[in-house]
Amino acid sequence: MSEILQVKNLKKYYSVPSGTLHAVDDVSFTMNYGETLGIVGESGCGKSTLGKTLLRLIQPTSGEVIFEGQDITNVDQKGFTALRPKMQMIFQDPMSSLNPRFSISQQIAEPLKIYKVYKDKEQLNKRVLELMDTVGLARRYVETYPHELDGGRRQRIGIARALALNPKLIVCDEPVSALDVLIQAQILNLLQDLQKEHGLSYMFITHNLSVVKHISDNICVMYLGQVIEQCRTKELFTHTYHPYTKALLSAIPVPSLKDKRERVLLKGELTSPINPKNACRFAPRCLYAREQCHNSAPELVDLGNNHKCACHFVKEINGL
Amino acid sequence: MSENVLEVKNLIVHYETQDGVAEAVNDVSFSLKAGETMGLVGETGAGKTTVALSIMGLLPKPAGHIIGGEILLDGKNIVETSRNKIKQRRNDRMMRKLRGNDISMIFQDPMSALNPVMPVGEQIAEVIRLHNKISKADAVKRAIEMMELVGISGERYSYYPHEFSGGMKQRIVIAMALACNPRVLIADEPTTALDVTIQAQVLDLMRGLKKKFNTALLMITHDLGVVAEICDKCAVVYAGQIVEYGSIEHIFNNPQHPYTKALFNAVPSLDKDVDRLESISGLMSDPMDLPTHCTFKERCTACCDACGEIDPPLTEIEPGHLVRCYHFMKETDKAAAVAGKGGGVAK
Repeated sequence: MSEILQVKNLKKYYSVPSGTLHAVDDVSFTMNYGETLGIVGESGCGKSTLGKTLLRLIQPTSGEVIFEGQDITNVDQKGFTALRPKMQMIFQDPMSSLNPRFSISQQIAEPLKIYKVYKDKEQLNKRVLELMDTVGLARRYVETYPHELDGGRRQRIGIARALALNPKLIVCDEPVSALDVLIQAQILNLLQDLQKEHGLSYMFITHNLSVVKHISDNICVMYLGQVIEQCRTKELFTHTYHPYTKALLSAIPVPSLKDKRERVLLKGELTSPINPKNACRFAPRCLYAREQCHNSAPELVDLGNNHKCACHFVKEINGL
Repeated sequence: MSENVLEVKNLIVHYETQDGVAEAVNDVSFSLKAGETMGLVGETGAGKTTVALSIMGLLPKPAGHIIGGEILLDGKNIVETSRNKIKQRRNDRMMRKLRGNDISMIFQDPMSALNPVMPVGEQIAEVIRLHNKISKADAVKRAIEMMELVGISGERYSYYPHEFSGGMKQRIVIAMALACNPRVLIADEPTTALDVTIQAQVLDLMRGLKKKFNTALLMITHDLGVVAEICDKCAVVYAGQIVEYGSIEHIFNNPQHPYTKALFNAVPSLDKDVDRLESISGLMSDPMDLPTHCTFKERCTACCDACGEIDPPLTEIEPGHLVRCYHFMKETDKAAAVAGKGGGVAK
């Protein structure tokens, strides 16, 4: 069995005063052991909701999440306590995910205490220091508090805490978007080293396509709660099929003067995810939209090479 | 080319706090011509925003002080370094007239830059009425014109900020900043809070408006990609000093300072496949406790003994391309700097 995680038709709807908000709508994918799946999309496309739903921090409306062969969608709280150590999360803003009144050693020791891993206090402290070494935090910080540290070091605490219980899957929700490029590079390198060392699987949620290209093996591009393109990373960057992905790629400012790619400037902004019509959700902003796009929703179709894309006219647009 | 609209000369800014003095900006000089765009690039805490706030006369009081230097707007100095209260107040009054009219600023977070309980159109009209002697009806007309110019229908004049999305709000802020046709526009990370597709739209808009009004634009950003998109020249800032300065061709095609090179290497590329990103260890030095002489030496791969002994000046390595690094100093300057070590190093 090479799949660590299987997600089938996962849905998360919220009722809001003006109708039903489709935050995650019918998302399916699989993740293999030791691989990184990148989830890319603009803010409001449901990528964070998806991450939290996988860890059951949010209860899904329907669908299945199968973790190591076990359906975890309906496991009760007690049963989930046994599963939590295997799946952890790293949050975007380390300042708000850390307890401001806990010292660094307390932050990292917290999960170990909850799961009563060590009876002996000395062993616990030893493990905390070990974890600090793993993520590259100098031992002199052990009794400092989060506000005394900079963003990069705080994010390292978040990573150390996530690693404490030897997880198999880590959901990284925009772990580097609040950091400067040099620190971002340090954290990305650290995450890659840890993956090799501990055989971790990452689900890497980000809006930054160049980061995702660097770290992921597979990519899902999301738009308004739906996956619209899904394939291996290399495949996506050599053959970009969906008009939205194309626009997203061309919108990234490249720090180089040599290759000025052709710009596809999208009109408008994300439409509302409340009570969506049965239509292609990207149609209002799409350059190629026709009548059919406004009347029926496209399915995610495999175009060969395990490259899936949800667009009515994908073959026409790309001359396949 | 025309004369410089904005000139910053040897600007030094300190924050005097209870814990000590933070040397935020140390000897920054640059100039901007009408219609020109300059990028100010650096990490958090490099002093980019402090430079912008000094130009605007908006340094946080009472901690922020301009210790020395000049900021010339159309050749007229707008900085008051004296601590004399009367002189300070006179300068504040003058700045109030300039702000919004001759120089304006776009902030990073559009939500906190707009008044949440005032319709957006009125906020634009307010700036126009403050600086021009025109009737309310005319100001409204002009505000609606500005809204249309940034791509928002004039019918939304009486909408409140919360009824707009982030990108739309940033457009309103841009309309407001340009309403009085300023000579200089400072944009402090204007697209950092926006999604890439919206960022592309806003950058496109700014490029068009800049051409139309012939405004000098100072673009503060940490994203080298944004600089490549919109700027004509670029200054890389580290620990309150410009470490490399030149046209964007100089900076992007021929980066020379070790820090600039490190910045380029740390960005994951879309075209190349790299297994591991190159990053330099350590953090930017604390402005409360700056290392003596070269501020970058502790993180630098090319560091040698001399870096701890000499203050490297900005040296011109090709016309218009300046680098602040010992290794690019002329041999004669090196010798002079070493000889003058006892009696203070010539800058």
